Amino acid sequence: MRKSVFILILLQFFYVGAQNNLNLIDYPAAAKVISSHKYNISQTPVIAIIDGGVNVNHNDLKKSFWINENEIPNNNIDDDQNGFIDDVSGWNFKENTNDISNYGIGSWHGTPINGIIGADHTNKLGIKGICPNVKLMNLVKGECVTSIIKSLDYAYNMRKVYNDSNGAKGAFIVAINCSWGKDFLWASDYPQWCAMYDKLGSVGILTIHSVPNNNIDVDVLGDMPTTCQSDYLITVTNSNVNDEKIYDAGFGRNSVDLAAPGNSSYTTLNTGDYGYFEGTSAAAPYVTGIIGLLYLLPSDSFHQDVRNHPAKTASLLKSVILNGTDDLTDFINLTVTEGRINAFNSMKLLCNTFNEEYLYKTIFESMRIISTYPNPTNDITNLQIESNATTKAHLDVIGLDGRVIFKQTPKIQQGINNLTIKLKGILKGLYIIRLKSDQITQTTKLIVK
Amino acid sequence: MKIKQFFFRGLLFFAMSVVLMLASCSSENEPELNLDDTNQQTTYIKDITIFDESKENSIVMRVSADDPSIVENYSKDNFKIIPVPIGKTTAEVLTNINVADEEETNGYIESDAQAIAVNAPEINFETISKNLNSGIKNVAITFLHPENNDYRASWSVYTHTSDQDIDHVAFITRHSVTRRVYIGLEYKPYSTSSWSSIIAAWKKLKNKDVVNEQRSICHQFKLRVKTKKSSAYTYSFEP
Repeated sequence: MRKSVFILILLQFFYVGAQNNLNLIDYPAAAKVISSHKYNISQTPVIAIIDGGVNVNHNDLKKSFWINENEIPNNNIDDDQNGFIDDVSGWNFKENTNDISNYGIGSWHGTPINGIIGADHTNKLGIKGICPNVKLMNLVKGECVTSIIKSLDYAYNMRKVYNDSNGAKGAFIVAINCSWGKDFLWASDYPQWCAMYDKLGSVGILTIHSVPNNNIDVDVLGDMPTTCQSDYLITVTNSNVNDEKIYDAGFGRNSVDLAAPGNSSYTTLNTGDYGYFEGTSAAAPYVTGIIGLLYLLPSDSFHQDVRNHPAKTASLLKSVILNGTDDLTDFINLTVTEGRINAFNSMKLLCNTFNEEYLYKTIFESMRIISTYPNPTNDITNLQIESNATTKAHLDVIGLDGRVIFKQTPKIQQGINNLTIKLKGILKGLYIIRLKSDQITQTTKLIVK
Repeated sequence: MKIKQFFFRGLLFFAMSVVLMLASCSSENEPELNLDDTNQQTTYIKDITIFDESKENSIVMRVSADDPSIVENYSKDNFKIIPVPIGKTTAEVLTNINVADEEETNGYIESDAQAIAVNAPEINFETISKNLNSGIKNVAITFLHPENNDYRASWSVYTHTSDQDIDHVAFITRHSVTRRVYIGLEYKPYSTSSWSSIIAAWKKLKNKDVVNEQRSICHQFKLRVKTKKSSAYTYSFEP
């Protein structure tokens, strides 16, 4: 009895620990925006997962799988005429069948990824996926490049048909998760493969890839498809709950976009149970899941853009993911953003693009400085300020002796504001930036070097 | 807000205290919950017959894990057995047949940095029968674990157990320039003993390092190996 109670308490701590990854990326605040608005989205986002198949009987995933409504199961006819017979829930590109289960294939790897992204939110079982309202399309990965291209092309065609038929056919695929890749290869040798990411982007799909689980610079040693350049490809490395780089995780100042806290991810296991999943394979699904979450933004103008300008929307989504990161010292000079994903920051940036006034009060705080960059600085620093209302503010830079050496009265708009402070000729030292309105006063430190 | 937080923290502390108190008040005679893995999870098993090059010696290797997709992945191609004749040591035999280094890839060699403990799927291996020629005392087994092709999973942990009440020597060597191999070695002197550590996990094996541990009183050895992707290591448990 004593032992069991102790284990229960221990499990409780593990569970809390398991949630830390989501707390770290400000997921609860972003999810609350979605749950607090009773907004009926007209189209449920679909996330394609190209991996080793999935445990189709896992109780926490069963309800999340995408169903191809235009395909009649097991009638041996290609009802939706997409070239794949009976592709009711995806396709197996390894064996060229419609069996997306992984029994017999020998890969346990797909099930934990499915869980991180889209575990069922409607039950009271083990975990909840990042995206509360999403459908998971599993595409079993083949080994050769031709097969990889075919699986990417499947997703492209399904989304294209969806766009062309105004949602009557195909699938509303918004992102593809690829927690795999080929080590030590170069984009220049695989132009056809690289071209797929722009092609997918043209119909509104972002592809998220994980980088190798080795402490290597992919800009120097190569990796596919990490080294492909595309506005619609996001590459992810691995961090932990202490916001440190995992030693065994790839990096690349030009090719690796951002980090996500993949380590110690508590998720669905292939055994039908729950447990921990690690590596860059676990990091990529955080980014993929958040992209799915952002597609649930309760905004008419956003969804209008999704329908009318799918490629532009996909590009915007990549931009808010990359620009919303929290800067981490461990990733300085190691990734494009030098930061780790932040779901709420990305949601704020997305919201800022669309003038949905009613969202501002939920999403933005009264007025605060979000970031000061660069800091330390030589002479120029940029402030990112958020506000839930348009207001006049006083912005001062004050020396430690109390002398005001910079003064401005900017009009702060609802949403995200970017201000530049030029401090030419200022002496080295520590300064205080003070932002003041009728309601609040906020200060932050600035170092001039 | 602060008062509210304080209240909830207090409530949580109180609730945990009550739980701990209840736990400490339980009767000593009350049966403890058995959390033995074997009672909690289904174990999937696959028995694979492996022959040596001469086809005259064979073993049956039992592969087990709690995930059928992992077990399913193994075939005879993932093992190589090397007969060890009577009068020779495993080290001598391996030197003679020159177990080759795995080829380097693009000059990349995994760093020597110590890898931390991981949450990795565990796969167990046990030799359940041997059919050896009269002049052969044992076999060394080389593992070429199946590649998860391109999947970016992290580490895998493999557990190898010796024959019970037969083996007294545990031998392991790494023969890969590229891949890191970490080990932990335990043994039970008697069937009723608990596992005692010989080499605490995870000790890094350098390439061509040899571990040769002997225990005169030994019920069973348990060797745990942690590597990534396909790794090249050979072990044998000897009488």
